[in-house]
Amino acid sequence: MLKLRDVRKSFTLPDGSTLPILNVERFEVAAGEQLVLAGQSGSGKTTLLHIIAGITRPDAGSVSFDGTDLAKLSEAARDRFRARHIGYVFQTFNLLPGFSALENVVLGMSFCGTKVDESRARHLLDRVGLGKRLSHKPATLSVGEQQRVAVARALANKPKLLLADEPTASIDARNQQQVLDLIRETCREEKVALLLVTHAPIVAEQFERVEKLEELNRVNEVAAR
Amino acid sequence: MSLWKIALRSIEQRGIASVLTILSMALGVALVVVVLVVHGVIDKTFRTTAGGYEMIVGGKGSPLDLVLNTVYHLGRATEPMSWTFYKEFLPEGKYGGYVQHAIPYCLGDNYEGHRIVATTPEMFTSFEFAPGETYEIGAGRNFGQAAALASGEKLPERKPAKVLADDDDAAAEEEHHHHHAAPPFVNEAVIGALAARQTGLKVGDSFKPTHGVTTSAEDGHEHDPVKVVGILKPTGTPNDKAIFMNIEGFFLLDGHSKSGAHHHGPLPEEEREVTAVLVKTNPEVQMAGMLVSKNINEGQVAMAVFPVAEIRRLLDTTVGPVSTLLLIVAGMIVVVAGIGIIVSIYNSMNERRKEIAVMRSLGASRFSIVSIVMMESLLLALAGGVCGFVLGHALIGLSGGFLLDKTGVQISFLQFPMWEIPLAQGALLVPIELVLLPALIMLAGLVGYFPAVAAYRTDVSRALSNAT
Ligand SMILES: Nc1ncnc2c1ncn2[C@@H]1O[C@H](COP(=O)(O)OP(=O)(O)OP(=O)(O)O)[C@@H](O)[C@H]1O
Ligand SMILES: [Mg+2]
Repeated sequence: MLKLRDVRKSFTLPDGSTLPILNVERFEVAAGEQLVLAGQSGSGKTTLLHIIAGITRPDAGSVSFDGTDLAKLSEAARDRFRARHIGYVFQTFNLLPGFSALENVVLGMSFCGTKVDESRARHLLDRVGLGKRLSHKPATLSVGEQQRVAVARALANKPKLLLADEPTASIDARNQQQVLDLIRETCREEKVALLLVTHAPIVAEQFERVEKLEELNRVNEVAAR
Repeated sequence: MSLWKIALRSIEQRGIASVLTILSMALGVALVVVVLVVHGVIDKTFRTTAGGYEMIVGGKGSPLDLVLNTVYHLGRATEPMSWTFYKEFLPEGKYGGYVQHAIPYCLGDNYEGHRIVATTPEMFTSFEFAPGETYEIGAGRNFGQAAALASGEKLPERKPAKVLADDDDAAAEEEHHHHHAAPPFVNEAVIGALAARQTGLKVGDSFKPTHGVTTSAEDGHEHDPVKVVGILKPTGTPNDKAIFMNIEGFFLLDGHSKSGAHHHGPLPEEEREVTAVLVKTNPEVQMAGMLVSKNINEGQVAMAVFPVAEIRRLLDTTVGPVSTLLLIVAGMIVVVAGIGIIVSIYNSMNERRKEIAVMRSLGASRFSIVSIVMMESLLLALAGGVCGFVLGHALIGLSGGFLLDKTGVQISFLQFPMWEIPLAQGALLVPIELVLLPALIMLAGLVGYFPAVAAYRTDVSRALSNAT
């Protein structure tokens, strides 16, 4: 489903020098697969997710998604593609504070050009255990509950891939496992592939496939060469 | 969820800041509305109230004072002219051929601040208060003998003359007697609708005129009672607040003869004076108005004034510029309120950056984000506009009484002066305030532009990295 080839990304620093971050020769995710992306802080995990989501365009290489190369699409086309096919959950600040739980999920359906299906939004919130909190604003929900709303929203458009960037890192240990289970179960039910970034070994060890970015990334070898 | 709803939520979320922004916009718009409407109404009233006559003749002095006095019942009293001069306008007089109607007007008294206009009954039969609109008496009848007899009233029976009335003492006695029996139907008045409401006078009531055109005049001398015989239907003109009385009765009131002497029968002509003559010229004589006014103004006795021209000069030289100035001030308040919108949206840009990034991660395009910010600006401006519109009209409604007192212009809560936009066929009438709508939309666009650019430039990747 997702195939990355020779993806390179470097940032230009304020002093004008370039800082190479990524040089990924090959990275693939199959439909419905669940895997963990691990790596040290600052190694470029978030940057890689942004590239896969089409938020950031790579300097070189291809990001092929079921045959569509995101790296060749315009920004607007990437936005549209993301709206339809990719769900995203962050560590914090997923929800817009002015919108209720239900509205946040509906918001997730508002940018893909199809009609908003409010009953699906209700169903998803019910599925993540918040069926009775539809009209609550994020500020009145616990961090774990907020993350569950974020999961429901990320799945709202029936995406093919869910990107989760340390989704449980801000939650206390007891709820962490609940939210993680919820993410994995719902992805399985909805037949959505899951690419989850985490620092926590306790999370990583539950996955069959764990990719270490340091092993994928050859940026340091190139720089050393 | 539509972009409009997202914009609305964003405004709601910034509660107090949004309310304050809307409030300042509302104040500016309210002021613009007040200035536009009040000026529009004054302008329209003063430009169109000619009262069915096109020329006023009065004693030499300030033409504007003469117009304000006769048409609007405002301002200082003007110099009177002799009755003989008035007679030149009658059919057998010098100007008779040029004139269709000439109605005498005597001013100088008031009742509870309502000016008393002494005139002839023809005032209400010869003139229309607006094109095609004749005066109607709602209750009672016109003053004067003809109207009284027409409504079925009888002349009072004459008291038999005293038999032994041949010495001086008896003559003096008779004088005294006559003082109590004035000629019939002369001490009568017809009052404007507003004057009736404000004084509470009804048909059949009597009132005592006070000397002076206003209540504050030093000479607060009270006259003999005058009887109300009729109440005019509302006309929407300054005449609504005036009291009209029979000129024959007026001349008999104390102090209204030229010499100041006391008279009991109809006042001799050489003792009579008039403040003004309202003239409608003969439409069959070409340039009648020009000829008559030129002749009068070249003489030493009086002046002839065209009220429409006089008022136009007043509006163009005084009222117009003052209104323009007020409008500029009000416009500046609106602009400042617009800057308030920029500040309000800009201040929230930091928290917004994250929200924008989240929406972008959900697939919102830059264009959608820019649209949301623009819509926010537009909604704030329009909400302010609507509040300002209501506030403005509320202010107009509240100040209506004051304006009525000061200018005789009637203005109400729902007053919409119209603007005539000439078209190929006919003209389009739009409320003047409607110009506010495109102006506000343009302002909102201008004001939304800066935060929209900031929103457009938001680096999603960086904003998301900061959030995680
Ligand atoms: N827009 C940017 N401009 C310049 N440098 C950037 C930018 N975004 C990221 N970087 C740098 O790129 C490197 C990788 O950042 P990234 O956020 O991808 O790391 P990460 O693996 O997600 O780290 P963490 O585990 O702490 O979240 C960091 O050194 C970061 O400072
Ligand atoms: Mg990261």
